[in-house]
Amino acid sequence: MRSLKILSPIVTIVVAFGASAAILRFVSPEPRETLWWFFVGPFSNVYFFGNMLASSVPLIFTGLAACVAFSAGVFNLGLEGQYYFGAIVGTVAALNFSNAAISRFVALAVSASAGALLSSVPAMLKVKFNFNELIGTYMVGQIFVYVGDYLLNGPFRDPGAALSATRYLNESVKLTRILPPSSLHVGYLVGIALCFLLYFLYKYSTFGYEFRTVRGNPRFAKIHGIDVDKVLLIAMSLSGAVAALGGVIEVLGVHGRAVKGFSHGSGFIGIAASLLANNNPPLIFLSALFLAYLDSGAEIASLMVQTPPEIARFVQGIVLCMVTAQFFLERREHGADSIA
Amino acid sequence: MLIQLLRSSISSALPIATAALGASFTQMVGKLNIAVEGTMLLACFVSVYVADRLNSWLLGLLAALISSCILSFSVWSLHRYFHANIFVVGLGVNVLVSGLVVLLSSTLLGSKGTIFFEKIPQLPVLRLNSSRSDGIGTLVSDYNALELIAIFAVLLSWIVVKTPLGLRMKAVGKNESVAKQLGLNVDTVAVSSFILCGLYCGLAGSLLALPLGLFVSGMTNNRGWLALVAAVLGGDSPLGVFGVSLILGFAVTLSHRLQLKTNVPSEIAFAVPMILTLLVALTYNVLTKARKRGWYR
Repeated sequence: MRSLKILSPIVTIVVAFGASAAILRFVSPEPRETLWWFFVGPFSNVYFFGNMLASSVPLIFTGLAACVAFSAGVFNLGLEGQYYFGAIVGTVAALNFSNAAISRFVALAVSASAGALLSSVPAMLKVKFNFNELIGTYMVGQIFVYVGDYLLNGPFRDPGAALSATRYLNESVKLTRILPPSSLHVGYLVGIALCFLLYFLYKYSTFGYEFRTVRGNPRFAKIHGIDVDKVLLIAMSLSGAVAALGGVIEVLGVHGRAVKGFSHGSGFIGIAASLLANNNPPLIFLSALFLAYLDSGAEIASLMVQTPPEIARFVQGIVLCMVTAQFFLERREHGADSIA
Repeated sequence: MLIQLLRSSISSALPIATAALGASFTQMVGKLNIAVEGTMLLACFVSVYVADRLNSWLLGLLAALISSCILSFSVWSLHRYFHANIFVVGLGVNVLVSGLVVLLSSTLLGSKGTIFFEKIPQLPVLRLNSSRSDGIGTLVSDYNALELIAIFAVLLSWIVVKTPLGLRMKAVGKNESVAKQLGLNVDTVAVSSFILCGLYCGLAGSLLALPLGLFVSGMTNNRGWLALVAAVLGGDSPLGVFGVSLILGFAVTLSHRLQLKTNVPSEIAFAVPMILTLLVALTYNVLTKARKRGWYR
C-alpha cells in the first residue's frame, strides 16, 4: 500500500502537465515552440534557472507559514495580507536607518512582528469568542492588503517613482546574490535552513509535541494538561511572522523596495505548496520549487512566444484541485479534513 | 438621497445574496463550497460571451447556469470519489478559473482588459409608471429582468428549505451517519445541494455581467468571499443569509459613494465592505456567545 501512496502526487503532476500541454496547444499560435519553452525553458540557462529558484523563495516562506498553522490544526487564510503588509512596514522602518546591519535587522524584526500581530488578532478572536478563523484571518488579511496599497500610494510613496513604491533601500542593505546574472539571493538558503529547523522543532521539541497533540485531538490535549488556547495563539503568530519574513526577504533580495502588488497571490499559492508537500516542512522547498517552475515556465514562454502568462494560474489551480485527492487508497487520516 | 442609497444597496446586494444562498445550501449538508468566487467569475464570462454570440440574454443566462453547475458538480465529485479536501479543491477552482477566464478572453476575444460587448441585447426593465415619486416608488421600480429572477430565487430558497429535500439536507449536515441509517441517500442529497449552489452562483455571475454588457477578469472583486461570509453568518436560515447580504450590499454601495463623492483614499474605500462585515460578524458572534452564557435574554 505504501508504494501506491507515493503514486498519488505523481498522478497529480502528470495530470497538471497534461492539462497545461492541452491548453497550451489551444491558446498558443505555435504550440510546439511554446511547449518547449514552458517545460525546458527554466533549465535552458543560468539566468532562467536562478530566477526560478529565486521565485520559489516567497513560496517557501508562505508554505512554511501555512504549514505551521496546519501543524496545530488551524487554517491561516490571511497569508497574503501578512506577507504584503509585513514587508511594507518592515521596508519603511528600514529606510530610517543608514547602517546596513541595523537596517537589515530592523526590517526583519519589524515585519515579523507586524505579521505576527495581523495573524494573532483573528486567533485571539477565535480563542475568546469562537469566531471562525477562516473568515477572521481572510478578512483581516484582505483589509491589510488594501491598507498596504494605501501606504504605498499615499504616505510612503517615493515622489520620483513612476509607480506606487517606496524609496530604494541602500545597495548594502540588500541580500547577497548567489548566482550572478540571475536574482537568486541568500534568502533561498535561509528558507531551506528554516524548513529543516521547523522540522526538527516539530519533531523533537516539547512545543512540537504540544502542536501535534492539539492537532490530533484538542479535547485530549486539554485533558492532558496542554493549554490549547496558548498553542493556537503561538501557532498563528508564528505563522504570520514567517509569512511576513518571506515578504521582507523578497524585498531585500529581489526588488530593493516595496512595490505595489508585489505579492500577487504568493499567500494563496503558499497554501498549495504546503499541501503538495503533505505539510511536511523539509519537502516544502521542493513543492515551492515545483510551483515556481510552472510560474517561470509560463513567464519564459510568454517572453519567447506570445502566450498569456496566466497559464501558470490555470495549472496551479489544477494542482491545487488534485493535491489532496487520493487516487489509489480507500481512505486515510487527514488532519485538515476535520476543519474544512 | 437615503432612498437612492437603499435602492442601489438592494441592487448590489442581489448578486451577493444569490451566491450566498447557493453557498448556504452546501453548508447545510456540512460541506461549504469555497469555490463560489471562481464559479461566479466563470458564469460572468460565459453569460456575456454566449449572450453576445447567440444574441440572446436568456441563452447567455442558461449557458452560465449550466457551466457553473458542471463546475460545482466536479468540486463535489473530486471530494466524494477521490477523497480530496473540499476546502482545498475550492481554493484550487478559484485560482484555476482566474487563470482560465484570462486565457479564454485573450484567445477568443483577443484582449485581456475590459471587454465591452456593444451588440449584447438589452435586458428588459420593469418600470412602474406610478404617479408616486416618493420613496416607495423609487424603491420598488426599475428592476431588470435578471434582478427579478434573483428576487424570485431568494424567495424560492426560503421555500426549498421547508421541502423534504431541504429538511434532508439539514439532516445530512447535522449527522451524516444517522441520516444514512435512517435510509436517506446521502449522495443524492449532497449532489442536489451542490447543483443548487451551481445554479445560484451562475445566476449571481450573470447578474454581475449581463446588465453591464462587459467583462473584466477582476469582475467579481471579492464578492464571492463576501457571499461566503454571509452564508457562514446566516447559517441554516435563508432569511438570515439574505439579511447579512443586504448589509454587505449596503457596505459595497457605501464604498462606491465614498470613492466618488469624498476625498477618502480609494484603497481605504475598497476596504470598507470588509471592515464593516468583520465588525457586524464580530458583534453577532459576541452577542450569541453572551446569550449562551446567559448574560442577557
